[in-house]
Amino acid sequence: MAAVALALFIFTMLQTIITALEISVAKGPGETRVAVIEKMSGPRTQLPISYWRRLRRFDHVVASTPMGYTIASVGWIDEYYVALLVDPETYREVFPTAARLVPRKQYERFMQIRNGVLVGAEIMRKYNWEVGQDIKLQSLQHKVTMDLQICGILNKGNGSTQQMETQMLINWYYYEGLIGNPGKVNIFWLRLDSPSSTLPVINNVSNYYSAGPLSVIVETESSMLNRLTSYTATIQLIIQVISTVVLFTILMVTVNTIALSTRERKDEIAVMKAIGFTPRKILWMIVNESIITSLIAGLIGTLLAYALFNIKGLTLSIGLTFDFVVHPRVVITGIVISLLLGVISGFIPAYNASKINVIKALHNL
Amino acid sequence: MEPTLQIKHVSKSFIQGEVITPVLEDVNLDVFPGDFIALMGPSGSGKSTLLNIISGLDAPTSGDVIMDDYSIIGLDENALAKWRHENIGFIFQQYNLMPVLSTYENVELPLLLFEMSRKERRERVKAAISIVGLDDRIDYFPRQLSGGQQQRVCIARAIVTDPRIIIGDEPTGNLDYRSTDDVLALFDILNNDLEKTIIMVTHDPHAAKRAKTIEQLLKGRLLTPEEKDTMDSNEFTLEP
Repeated sequence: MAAVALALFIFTMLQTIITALEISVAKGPGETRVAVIEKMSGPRTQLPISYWRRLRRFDHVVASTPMGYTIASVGWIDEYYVALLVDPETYREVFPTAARLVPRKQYERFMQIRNGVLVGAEIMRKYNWEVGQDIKLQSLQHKVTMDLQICGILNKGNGSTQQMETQMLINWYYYEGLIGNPGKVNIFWLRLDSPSSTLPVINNVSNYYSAGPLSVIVETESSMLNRLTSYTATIQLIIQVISTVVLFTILMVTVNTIALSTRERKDEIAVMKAIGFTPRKILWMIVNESIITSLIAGLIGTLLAYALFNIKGLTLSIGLTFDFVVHPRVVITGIVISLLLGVISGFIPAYNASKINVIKALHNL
Repeated sequence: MEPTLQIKHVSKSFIQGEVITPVLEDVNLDVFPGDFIALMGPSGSGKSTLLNIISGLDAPTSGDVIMDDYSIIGLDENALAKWRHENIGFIFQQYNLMPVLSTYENVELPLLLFEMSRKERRERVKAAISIVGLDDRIDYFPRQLSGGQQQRVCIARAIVTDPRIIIGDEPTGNLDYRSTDDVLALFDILNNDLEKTIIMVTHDPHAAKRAKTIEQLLKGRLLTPEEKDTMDSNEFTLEP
């Protein structure tokens, strides 16, 4: 029972991690937005801001905005967050839904002041910050201190990702000034007139820059997010393999345990058969016992993992922020797996028990 | 009177590779309602094998076991289990009680296979426990009971389904003198007062004397009355 509980605890934890990674990738909406990034190493290599002038003139591009990012820590505390460096004016044109989640007056304030920052609601709650408050952030890459004023709060909402609540938007021009105006950005976002324009724009932009010093590729927003988090796919695969190995091992352990327990009760089973329990009844009795034990153990393991993640709460920021929450899907999967573990591990010992030779078993007492 | 159970020309051989060991040879026995039969014989004479065949736990190599004009030979395992449940009550030498169940629960066990209300089940269990005189041990577990008391629980479990035949496989074999007497007194009550049919294998002549009939097995054969008269009964009783 303890083995099954432990297995389901580990399984639920691992599946929660996988789910957290999946959610972060899956929440990239809208195929009318495309990202222009450096061809070889993606957004890690910066592009000259001068590209922007040409990019906005391509056919079907209705809006465009540059975007950089930095990892920012709060004071000297080791809590890191992704800070997107944006042009407030054009960001709103390319990401209208996300911008609308910030109250209009707050966003206008963000556009007006150079050192403005929009802060995710979760970060605001965590540090008890208020709109209008002055804060200091450290940039991990450039080792500069940003003196910022909170203009508004980034809330999670329809059409936005849960990442919003753990991110910050900082004025790209302000950050540029702090680091000596290198004139570089990580991504150019283009909003297109329709989804059908995606392919021509991808071809035109890629061809145009193919001969230049820095070639670019154009990706849709979802594939861009996939690229950003491509390493998570490997992690997911590794975790999935570990999950499977854990479950298989526990299945073997459980089969063995139930087989041992059944062997120990061989005389009892023989007596039951002698007094009228049919082989079928014995089989179902042991399978049921195995299922009930497995289900109880599975519930204990799953609830322990639930308590660890959902009650204590766990967040991991690694470029993207991952919130580890045990989702109902994982709980249901855990319960179904417990059930299957019970059936599979109980069936063989139960079948053997149902075939016990009463005379031999009682004779050996 | 019609016999409850008929053993007709039953033979049994055990085959190991090419070695065939005959254990029972052409055994015939009619068991009538209210009979109390003691089966005696030296070790290896086939007593337990005959008991196993009578109770449907083993099949004869040839011959037939008939109850109420129906042969039980050829029934599948599930049908035989059902037949045993309805017709046979077992009393084992080792008691074979479930160690994790109380006296009440052990006696209740066979009744769980019947469709009956909890109330009726409780009444029947309590009645059976009362017959064996263990009302004050109803919540005790086997480890808290003496050997004699455990055997009485086993008897209660055997009679709770109101079986046609009670089969005892050396029921006093593990008991001291006093407990043996208690158990045999219970057998008398079951046979005389409750009119239960009993077939009991025993090595103990003192126990066998309580039976109405003593059948003796020798080398797989039931002795005829004439053979029994000419044999020294010690031949059957001195061997363990």
